[in-house]
Amino acid sequence: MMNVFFSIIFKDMRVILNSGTKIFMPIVYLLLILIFFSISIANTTLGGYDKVLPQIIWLACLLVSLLNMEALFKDDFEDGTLEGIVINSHVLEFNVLAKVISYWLFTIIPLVIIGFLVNYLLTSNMAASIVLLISLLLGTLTISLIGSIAASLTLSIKGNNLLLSSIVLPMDIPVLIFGTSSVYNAMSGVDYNSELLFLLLLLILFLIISPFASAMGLKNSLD
Amino acid sequence: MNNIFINLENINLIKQGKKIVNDFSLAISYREKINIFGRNGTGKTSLLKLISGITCPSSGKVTIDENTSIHEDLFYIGHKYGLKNELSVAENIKYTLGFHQRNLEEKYIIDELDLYNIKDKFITKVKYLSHGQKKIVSLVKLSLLKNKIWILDEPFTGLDQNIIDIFIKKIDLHISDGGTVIITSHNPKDKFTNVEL
Repeated sequence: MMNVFFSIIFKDMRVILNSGTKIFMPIVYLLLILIFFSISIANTTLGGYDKVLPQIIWLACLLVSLLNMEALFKDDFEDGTLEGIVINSHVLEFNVLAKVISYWLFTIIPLVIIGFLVNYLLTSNMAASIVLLISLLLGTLTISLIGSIAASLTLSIKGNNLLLSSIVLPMDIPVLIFGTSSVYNAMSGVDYNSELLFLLLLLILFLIISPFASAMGLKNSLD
Repeated sequence: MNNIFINLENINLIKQGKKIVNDFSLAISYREKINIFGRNGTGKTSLLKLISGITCPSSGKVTIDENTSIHEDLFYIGHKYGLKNELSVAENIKYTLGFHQRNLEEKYIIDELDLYNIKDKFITKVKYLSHGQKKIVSLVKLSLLKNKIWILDEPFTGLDQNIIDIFIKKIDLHISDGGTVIITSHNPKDKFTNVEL
């Protein structure tokens, strides 16, 4: 069973590495959001850009991963690979999880690393940057898991991005709240463990729910 | 050995208020070649999806023999061939073999491609192949995997006569190995059990 899991991840990795845009577009989007944000708030006297930078990075990562969420199953759906996965999976839930993990590894992780580097270079606050990195790692995996539910449900609908975002929105809010407040606490020198623990809790919760919900959604979409 | 592995009884399928399959019954056993034919829009593809378990019937019963596992024994090729444009022919075939947990040496893959005269496309990316060549690659996957039940949606369209002859020989070989082939087409075919829809 693990072989099947890794064969899906390996295939997705080869696909992403062979098509340059899929790996670079999210990073370019992230950097664009960060640059435009900093230009637009340049005249306000909030007490320094570096105070809000981690939150902006968090928000930008969330937005960019939302933009790409649609692609999670779309390519496999359009070229017929998904039919093969659904028919020939012993445990479809497990293979759906492989799809989510590979999406997270090859699309989101580069974003998270870039976000961490930007934050460290601009604030030179290593402790807060590491908290940002950890909270982003936990948070984005949760967001990917939530997104997979919505992506599987809206797969067969044309122009599904609007519906997808509105399904995802209410479930992403807690992740955003705890993610941003953990970084804010770390920057202010307050305890941030409880926020990170809550993020971990959300992750475990969706790790349990999401594969089952997404597998059901996929079966429905292929109907 | 003439055991029935899948039995469809009084199947009805309604999609978005329209009746697509109407009171259809069919029993399929091993070593059978079935050709489901009918005009456009008579629900051939829907029926194949019903057999492969992607779709559930609105009413009626689908029974599968307990020694047969849909997940292991069935291979379905629909209108989409399940090939990744960004990957080479070799990578695509290796992915499918890996997904089905089969190990095959590269030379068997090349031999199989050579049968259809596309050996030189081994490391070509699928996006540079023609429509027919993509179809051939999906048929090559099929014969390399050796799953017992082949479900093929219009396998002969878009292929030249030469390739069709080679593939029909492959089908006969598969039947003599104890497999089953279910295809769809627009007209009845010789040497197939023809079922009109």
